[in-house]
Amino acid sequence: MNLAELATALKEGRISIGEWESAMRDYLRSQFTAAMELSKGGRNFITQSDWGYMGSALKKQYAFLGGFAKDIANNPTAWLNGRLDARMGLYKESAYAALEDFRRREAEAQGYDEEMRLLGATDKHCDDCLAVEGRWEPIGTLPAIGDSVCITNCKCEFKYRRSANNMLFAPGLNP
Amino acid sequence: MKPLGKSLPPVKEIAPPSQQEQDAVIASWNANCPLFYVGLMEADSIDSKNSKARFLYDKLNLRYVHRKTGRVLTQHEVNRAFIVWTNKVSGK
Repeated sequence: MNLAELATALKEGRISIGEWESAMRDYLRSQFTAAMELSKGGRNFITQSDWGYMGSALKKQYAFLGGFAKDIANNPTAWLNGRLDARMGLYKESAYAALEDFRRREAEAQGYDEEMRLLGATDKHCDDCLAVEGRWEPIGTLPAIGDSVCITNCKCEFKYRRSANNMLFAPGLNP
Repeated sequence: MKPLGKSLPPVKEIAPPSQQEQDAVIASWNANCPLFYVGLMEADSIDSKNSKARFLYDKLNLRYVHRKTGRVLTQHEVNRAFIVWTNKVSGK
């Protein structure tokens, strides 16, 4: 089932909260797995440490999901309508944030030490994104994708570089 | 109608995805991503000799290369492909 079908199944009473939550966990797991694969260059490059990092990120999402499931169970009237679909959509967006996060981690591992946030090609930029875009800063210091008011609606992304002062990399190897 | 029931207990440990799970994700990617990007998750290293993969991955420079044409993919287009895939499998 995709997210829309899952939402409908819960609203129509065909599945329980536990079944819904289990399916959402599976969904997030496959999304995050895909994000890790793409951020690392594919399955051949992923290490146990990478999977451990993905596991930590997933655990956080599962905790949010658990809270959401409790909210639905405690107040089904408030949630078993269009609000459910909208909130489920945020979990879909978490996969994009994960992709950027995993790539940022890989960039740091490969010796990139500066980052710049670039605005996505949309008009949905919030003030948070506008305030931090377009300048080089030490890697890991800018707000992560997904930490802005707009969450990931803007589809901003990072680019990376190895600074001139990075003694590990000779000129010519830097992008 | 089924009883709504309760939420699940919290997860203590999350195991890495099995080979089967990874295969399923890759199959889903290949079936639902924009056509040009089929095979992206099965890239070989840029250093590979005699690779038959559609894409190569340059780990040092964080970039994919289309093997036949040598074109370097931008990060932006990889992100776009991911968004298309996510939307498709999510039912948007």
